[in-house]
Amino acid sequence: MKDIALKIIDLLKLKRVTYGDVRIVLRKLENIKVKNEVPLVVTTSDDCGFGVRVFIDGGWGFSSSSDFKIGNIEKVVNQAISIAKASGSVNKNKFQFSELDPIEGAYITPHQINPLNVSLEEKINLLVNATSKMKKYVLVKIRQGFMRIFIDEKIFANTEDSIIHQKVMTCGGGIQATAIGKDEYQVRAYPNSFEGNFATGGYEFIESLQLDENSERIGQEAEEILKAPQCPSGIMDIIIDSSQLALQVHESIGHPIELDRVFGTEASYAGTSFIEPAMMNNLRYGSGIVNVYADATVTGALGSFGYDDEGVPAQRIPIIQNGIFKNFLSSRETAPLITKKSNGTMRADGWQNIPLIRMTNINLEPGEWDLEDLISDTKNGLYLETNSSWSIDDKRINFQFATELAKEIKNGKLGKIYKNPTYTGITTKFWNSCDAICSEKYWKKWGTPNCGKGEPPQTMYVGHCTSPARFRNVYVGVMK
Amino acid sequence: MKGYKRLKSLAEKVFKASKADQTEVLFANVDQLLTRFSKNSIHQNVMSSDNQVSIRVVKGKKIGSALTNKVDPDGIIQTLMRATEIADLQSEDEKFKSLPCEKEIVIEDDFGKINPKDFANKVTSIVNIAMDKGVKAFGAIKRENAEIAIFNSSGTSSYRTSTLDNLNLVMMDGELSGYGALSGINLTINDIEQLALIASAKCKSKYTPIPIEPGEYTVFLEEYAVITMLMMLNYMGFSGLKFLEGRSFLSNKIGKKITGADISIYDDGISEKGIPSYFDFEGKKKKKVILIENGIGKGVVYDSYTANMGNKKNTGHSLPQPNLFGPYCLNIFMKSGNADVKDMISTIKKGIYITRFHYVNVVHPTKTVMTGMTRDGTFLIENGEITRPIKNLRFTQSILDAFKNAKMISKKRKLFSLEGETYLAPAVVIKCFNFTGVSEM
Repeated sequence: MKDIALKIIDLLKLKRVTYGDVRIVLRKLENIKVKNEVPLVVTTSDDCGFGVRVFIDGGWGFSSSSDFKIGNIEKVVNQAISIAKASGSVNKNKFQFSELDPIEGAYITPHQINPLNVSLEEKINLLVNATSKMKKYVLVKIRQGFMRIFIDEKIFANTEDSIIHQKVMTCGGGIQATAIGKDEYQVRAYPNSFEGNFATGGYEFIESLQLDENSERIGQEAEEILKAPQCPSGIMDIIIDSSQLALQVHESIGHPIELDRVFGTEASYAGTSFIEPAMMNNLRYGSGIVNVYADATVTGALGSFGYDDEGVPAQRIPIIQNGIFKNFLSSRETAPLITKKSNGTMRADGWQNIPLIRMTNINLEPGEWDLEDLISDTKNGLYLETNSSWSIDDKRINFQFATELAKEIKNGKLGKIYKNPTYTGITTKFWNSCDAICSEKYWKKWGTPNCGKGEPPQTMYVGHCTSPARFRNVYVGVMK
Repeated sequence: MKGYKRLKSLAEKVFKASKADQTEVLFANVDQLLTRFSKNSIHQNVMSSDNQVSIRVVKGKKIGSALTNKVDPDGIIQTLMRATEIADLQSEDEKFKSLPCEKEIVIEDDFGKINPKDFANKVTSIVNIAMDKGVKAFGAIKRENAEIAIFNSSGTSSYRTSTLDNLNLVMMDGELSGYGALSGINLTINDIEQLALIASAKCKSKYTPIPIEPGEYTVFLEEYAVITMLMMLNYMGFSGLKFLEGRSFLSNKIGKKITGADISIYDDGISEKGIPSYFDFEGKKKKKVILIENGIGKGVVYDSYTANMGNKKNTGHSLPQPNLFGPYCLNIFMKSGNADVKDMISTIKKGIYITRFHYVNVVHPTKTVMTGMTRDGTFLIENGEITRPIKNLRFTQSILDAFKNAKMISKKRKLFSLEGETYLAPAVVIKCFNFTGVSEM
């Protein structure tokens, strides 16, 4: 792979492009889905190809192929150049890239057990055994188990003489019970919706999920939710569990701080952002206890890697400090526009896509509260667990989420379960209403394996570390 | 692209090498050019070419599958072996009966030329209008040439080639924006310019957008917004799998009134009025299925697996197998009415004009309650006229209830294709549409 990458870089230098890079990616995927004890989806895939990105004559071009024949490689390089020239015929952009010294680097995800070395039989058995324990709950008509292993081996090289080899290993899984009644159904998932929790690492992560140990509880809770009363509507204090808070961070902090969105490159599709560059160091994003970092260096978190897809080393950067907005996620092209250097967040989904600014691990720093104390300190409210629905506007201002269940909090004690809970708010008002965050003891790494962005649509694995937190005076129970 | 004969010959080699009872080979070869622009400049211009082969083997009632993009005899045979190993590990799936057997289908449409200069010219025509109107253009234009072939050892040979162009466009001026989209074959400069003029007109106003109080309003929904509602209905309940499992809004509702009498929705993968797909991802010919007719719940769609599960006929709606999602509609049509758009707006005393919805998600699937935002052209209607732009609104609304309150349906319909799903829908006036929030800091 390295030889091919260097050959492409030589070709690009011969063609005198202003800048060029190549990524060769070999992606191995294993996907297992068990439904009612039958492994309905067991599939493996290998996917390999290369993508060439160039800047020449005032424009960007990118072309990619899965055909590694010499003649085709030259054709793809020429296509990338002619596409760049076509771009340049509409606009003559100045090439502006934040500086980066050439890097010869290598990275492999820290792990103990390569998940592809564990037999499919063992993996299927784990899911079948775990989900079969839900059988005793008669309303649970659908019992599902999921496992996904996803390994990207890639070579990055550019015309600035960087060459980087990386192997990023991700895996995860979960279980899900669906209780079905006459006119509705309810889903309960563990450890999270979106088919479970995911991490960078080896099979030891899947073993640590304890799917088997939690299966009965999930089945029971699915039935309880189906029989539960509808969540009340009104203004209440809410405590959000760490998995739902991870998605809250994702949608209302992670996406609006992407600098490409801020500059409008996603405007016609995913939207823009309410944040402007002038708001750095000025915008009160949240209350004084809200501290958020983008950290691609957290061992085991889903958004961790060695280098981004422009060859910039993984970094930890402050996003919100004591409630004040500090920094965007940036690339080599966008960072100079705010007089900064890239903070290494450009990632591509496979060889056939160009890198975009993507979340790494956007983490809400832990506070000092014990969860039991926080519940005791809450007179009337709701404790919300596990996402079931999400929506936010194209500037990331107005959001609405639903969770699988809510538990009533009355006079500092957890009470009955409600079904179909929802809550809605305005991003900065909401984060300014955060008055308590639980301690490091509750701080958990959550993987979001389905973050969509760009055209053609790209899916990225990103992470969020969060502890449960309390928000005051939130509108809950939005339903018609 | 490989061609029908070459792919059939490759598939026959797989069948010969396979020790399974039944074997299926799916080839998907796609060439794509996509040009994105923002602030009147091209910022992303990408081409890709990929070939994939997916092999599914059946041994008794055990099924295994594997996928690769190494489409040479070695890669394909290795993939067959992997799929067979997986089948051997499987337990019996009693609900599985057989891969479908279909008569040969060969549809060979010409491919459109993939030409970055042509796309650059089309973007230039949009940018020229944007500059002339003093606004900024954002969007993407895409051409996709696809070759799909499905062969199985029971005799199915289904092959098609197709070209599809898509354009989405947002024009912006300060806080205001306007949207338009086109789907079809060989979009002309004239069509593109007309769209750019409509989108740019929406973002020019002497007024700045004001917030209005959430609550129930009469709405005029452009076709794009109606299509989002159809997409959500499709997701929430036109699948035979969800229907059979009691997870569809149509479960126990077939033959019952679920919307207003003017609402008729069907799926037709053959109709040339849409973008036909002819056969599904098991190679089965698509059948027209009436989903809702004159407000009455009529039917759902099936693939081979769910047809066997429910003792129904396979309607040809399989997605690529294996999946837990079940069958899916990819060619949905909503019947038109007889109203002109101007007349529709003129009947609204106080209401809201909505161009499109954004980030819509399910709140209650069997009640078809969805939430989402308005976007790129939300206006106040007063005394039958569009008077001023307003801030975007959040809605939380049952789709079936909304269709119960449909008062007028347009004569004209718009075609829209997104990631393999195609919709043809009219504009609709709906009473008592429920808004629950405003996008305002």
